[in-house]
Amino acid sequence: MSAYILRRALQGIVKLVIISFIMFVLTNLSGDPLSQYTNNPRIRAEDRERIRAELGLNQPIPFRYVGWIKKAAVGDFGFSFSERRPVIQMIGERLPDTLLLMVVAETVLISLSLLVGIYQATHQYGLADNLLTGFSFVGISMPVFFVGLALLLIFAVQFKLWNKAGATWLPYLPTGTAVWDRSQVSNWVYYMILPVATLVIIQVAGYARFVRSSVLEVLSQDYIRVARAKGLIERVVVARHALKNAALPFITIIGLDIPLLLAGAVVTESVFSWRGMGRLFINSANNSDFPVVMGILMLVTVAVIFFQILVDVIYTLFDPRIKLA
Amino acid sequence: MATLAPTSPAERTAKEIADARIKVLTPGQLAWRRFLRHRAAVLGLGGMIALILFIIIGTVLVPVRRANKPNPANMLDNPTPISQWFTGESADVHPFGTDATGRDIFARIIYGGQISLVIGLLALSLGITVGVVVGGVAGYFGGWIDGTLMAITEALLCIPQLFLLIVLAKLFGSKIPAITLSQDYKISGSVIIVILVIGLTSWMYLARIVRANVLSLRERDYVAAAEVLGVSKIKILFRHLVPNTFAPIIVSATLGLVGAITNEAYVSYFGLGVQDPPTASWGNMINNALSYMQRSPPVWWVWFFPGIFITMTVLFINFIGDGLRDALDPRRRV
Repeated sequence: MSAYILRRALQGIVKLVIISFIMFVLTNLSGDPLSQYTNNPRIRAEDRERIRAELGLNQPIPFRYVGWIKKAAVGDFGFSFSERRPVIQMIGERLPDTLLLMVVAETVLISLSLLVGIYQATHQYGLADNLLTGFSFVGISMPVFFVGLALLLIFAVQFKLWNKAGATWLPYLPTGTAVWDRSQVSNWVYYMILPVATLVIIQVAGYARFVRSSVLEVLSQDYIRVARAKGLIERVVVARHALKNAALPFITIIGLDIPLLLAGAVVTESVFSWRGMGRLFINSANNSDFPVVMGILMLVTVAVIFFQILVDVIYTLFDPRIKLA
Repeated sequence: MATLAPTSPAERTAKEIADARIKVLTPGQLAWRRFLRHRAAVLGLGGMIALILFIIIGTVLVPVRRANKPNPANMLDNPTPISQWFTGESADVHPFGTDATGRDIFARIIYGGQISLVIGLLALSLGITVGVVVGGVAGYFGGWIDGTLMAITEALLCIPQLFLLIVLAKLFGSKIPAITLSQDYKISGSVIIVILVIGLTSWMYLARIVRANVLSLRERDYVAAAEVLGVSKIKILFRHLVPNTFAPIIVSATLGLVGAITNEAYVSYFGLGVQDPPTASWGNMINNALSYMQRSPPVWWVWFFPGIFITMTVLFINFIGDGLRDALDPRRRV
């Protein structure tokens, strides 16, 4: 087991090196961080060249890459071009907010899709089942920002209008979520409902559909018939015997969908002005702030690779028949 | 006369046998039958045809000026009620309202739809081409070629596509000049960039599938026969192996089209995609709408219509894809 994890980790490191090289070349070709000074009469051309040399941008890209990866390997991602602060510090400020959004959204997502999926499986071809299957197609077809904007418009803008127009009992939610008082617990709910709901809505129906089909498959197995035959009540059959086996493919999907969720979080953050890593990435990419872009890319990739390995390890814990070679 | 000559008993039996035999269906016909039995798929196909007809007829009937020329006289007009669509002055009729510079959203949906669908199709073709070539070459030649290509493929799969898209969109920037189709109709060069960027970030899954298929196909006897006959390796790969991976290619093509259309929306949403002016796309229409989100009373129509059109398109294609998956699965019978 530990030998397997070690080998996967080594493969992961090789992947990381390949990715970092490709992305380093792409980002460094993608623009000139000093372009913002080109039309500034206060900054002379020679100063611009001096800054360029200071930032090391006058060296050839492969050379820059070697310098970058030597430091990155020990966790030093350098300084942001635009803010002159360590990249680690900048990401560190934004990461908790992104994690907060993702963890809450993922928790709601998983529990809700399990509930709905099991309900659908145990009430196959009922009205609710058919409706939810239809809804799952609509759900996966909607762009994240469309869902976010729609929620924002209804529950923040329109509700506020109605509230001001006299329906004072009607609560309304905030449009932006950038700065809020973290000391009050009620604020957390108030500011997080819409972003979390956005991330949940686009995924929940698809996940529920997935849970439904894997529970259905397990329910047709012989050992379920045995469990029923020996007189177990249906709830125990589903909860103890069916769910445990149906959970395996679900875990895989969740683990492998982490990149999707991260991308969804980037969009959601920008719709709700959430102060997370996704918005930092967009802004840095727009400003050609390469060190920050590379730092976030590496962090995201490490997370993806980590979850890929984790999924395989969890597999063996849930299903002893699988041997990791 | 030969035609009047009585047919011999042997000929007659052959004809009778042919008549009596159950109609033979080709695999294509079988797949088509299975597709038609999939209700959602038929709905999706019908919806897609209707959508394309809407865009074509719209292009003929609605002048491009309405989509692209700012008109300060009717900024952010409400959608015209249906009762007045055919009775009012045509310049004042805006079935989906107008945007912040007074451009007609109905017309922009039509012209933006052209762009979004063309980007989707071309980016998809690029993605498929790269995916098939990389996967085919890796699977057929094996060895270090396979190792290198698959290492790159697997590595790129670890980066969420949206992040890749943003970096690449930034890399290519908007350096390609606009294409002028007519006095009123210019297509931004950014369209070409968006096609490149989406195509180059969406080939990895297909490459993996094609490689896996080619790996097993190359061991077949007919490949050995072709090799013995002296057919060149490139020709074996693209004439004998790749066509046999047709079914998975088609299925992943529908997914790819969905991905391409949503990705266009995402990059344009972040302002890194299709540039407006001069070119409308469903994605940048929503991006334009962002500044007016919090306006009161809400101007919902500026983002609702492009959003609903993206959703509908993606939904239809998803339905078609679902039907194709069932139809092209040879283990299923009608």
